[in-house]
Amino acid sequence: MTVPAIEIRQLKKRYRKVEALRGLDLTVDQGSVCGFLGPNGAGKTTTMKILMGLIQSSSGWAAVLGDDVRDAGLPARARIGYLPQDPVFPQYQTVRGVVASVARLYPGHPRGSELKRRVDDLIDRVGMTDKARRRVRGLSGGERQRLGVAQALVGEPDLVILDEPSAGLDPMGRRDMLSLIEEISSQATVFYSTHILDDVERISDTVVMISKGRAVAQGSLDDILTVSGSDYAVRLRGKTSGIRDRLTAEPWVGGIDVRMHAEIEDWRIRLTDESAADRLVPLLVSDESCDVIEFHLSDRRLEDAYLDLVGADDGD
Amino acid sequence: MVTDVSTVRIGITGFWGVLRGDLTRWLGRRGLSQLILWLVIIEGFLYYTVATENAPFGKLGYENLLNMLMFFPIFAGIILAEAAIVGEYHSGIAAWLVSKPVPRAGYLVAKLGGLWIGLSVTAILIPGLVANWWLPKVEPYRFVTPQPPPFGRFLAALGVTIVVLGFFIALTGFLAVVIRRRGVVALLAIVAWLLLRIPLPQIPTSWHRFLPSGLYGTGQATGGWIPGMEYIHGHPFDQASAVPMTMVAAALLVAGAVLIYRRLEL
Repeated sequence: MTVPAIEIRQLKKRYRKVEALRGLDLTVDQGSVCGFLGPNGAGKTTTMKILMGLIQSSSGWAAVLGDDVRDAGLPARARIGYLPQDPVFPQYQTVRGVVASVARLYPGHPRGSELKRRVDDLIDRVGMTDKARRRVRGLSGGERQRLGVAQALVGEPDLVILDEPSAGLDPMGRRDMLSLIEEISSQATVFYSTHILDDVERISDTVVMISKGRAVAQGSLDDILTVSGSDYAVRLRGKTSGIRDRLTAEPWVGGIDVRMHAEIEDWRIRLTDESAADRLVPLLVSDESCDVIEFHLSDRRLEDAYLDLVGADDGD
Repeated sequence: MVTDVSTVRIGITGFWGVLRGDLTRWLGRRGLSQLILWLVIIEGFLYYTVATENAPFGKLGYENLLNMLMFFPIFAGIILAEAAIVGEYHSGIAAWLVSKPVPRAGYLVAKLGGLWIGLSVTAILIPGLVANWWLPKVEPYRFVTPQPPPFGRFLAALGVTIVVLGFFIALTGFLAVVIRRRGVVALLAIVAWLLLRIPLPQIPTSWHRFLPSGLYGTGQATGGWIPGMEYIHGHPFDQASAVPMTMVAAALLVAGAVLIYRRLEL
């Protein structure tokens, strides 16, 4: 049986009076592309730093590639590529210099023309060939981010941990970054944090949502969308205030988003209990002051699930 | 056992990678600019003091050379060691490097060691050898001290200065890991350096053999307290044990810094 790429059990981390992690549990299988989602301050960067051995947990247990992070020293780190949030590199080095110097930190690294070939290949993959000789101090934020990904991959890792890889990138840079992550996923497990939900929907096969230092949901994208409830789209005409009040009072209705277009209203009704869907239609048609023109199951998006799950946790 | 060997191999590769990166920098533009800077400062000051008829410090030759080799490189060593450890800690470069297969001990030793080697060569060894070439040729110098010191003894004096530089880089590295505040670290290291330049009456004479101050000697012409001076004047070096003891003290400071750094949150 393959060990998970990342396994975390009841991980806690306290910074003086702030509790950054409050018993986090998560598992990332090898070969997956796992999006790590959560609001600012949820504990994403803290989790990644613990995995990289940069900070120590207050309690709990975490393992990368089967090795406990407290014991996992250099052999484990030699198999992980890491892009920190806001990556910083020596200002005096060139793009090529940074990637080459990181390559030399790994055991069994290539030398001479083979090293040059690997470095140039990576610089090309992140789209920085024309800037290979440029010094770090002359790079934009997005270019530094691309350089960060190149240096994370230069050791040919089995696991790549990326802390907000799309941060600071323009739309084209973001698109290229996503393509690159998809490309990496054929060779390594990818665990990355982001705020951009569209990115997660596009490239991730699994998702972990974290809020206030705890995982609020994790699993495949489909699982997350199902677990968080279902949405129904309804188009109505007429006087709708009565039926809206009756629906809102039902315990299985999570919320109603309303968009008005002249005499027509488009509703998006979120159900917290899928089995209650059978009761929704009779209730809607029972109100004679309005007509139901359209009714169908709405395509639920990750954003909806995120707002429901993380929003509900915020409301605790 | 196989794992241990593999871990050591990985650690050495990481350590050497960081050290190589720093040394390469000293061989490149940084090293060249440092070398030019120190040559201009040290040779320029020295020429002024020994070759100008009415110079205020006139005609002191090797004493002034050793005084400058002690003063400027050690001051620079303290400032650069603080920048290397505290600067990289706050900028995130330290965290970035130790997230690679680089042991924290290896990172720290490579940073301090790279600086020590780089400054020793560019600010002590080369300027010292250049001065040793031209100093005996200057007429006013000959007037005061007819014979330059034997080359071996001069090299030993440079070696003593390099050992003292190593001690202060190690001390700054230790303070940097403990305090981690720019300015404060350098200030404390400079205070320690100034105190060790003065033969404090409170310190028993026997203690000096265990301190870098034991490597200092009194200049004949200046009366100054200068490292390696005993070698220059050919006097019996009665504090010879201070050389290994200063090296041990520097190693202990680095070891202490490593112990603290291994638990530091980056």
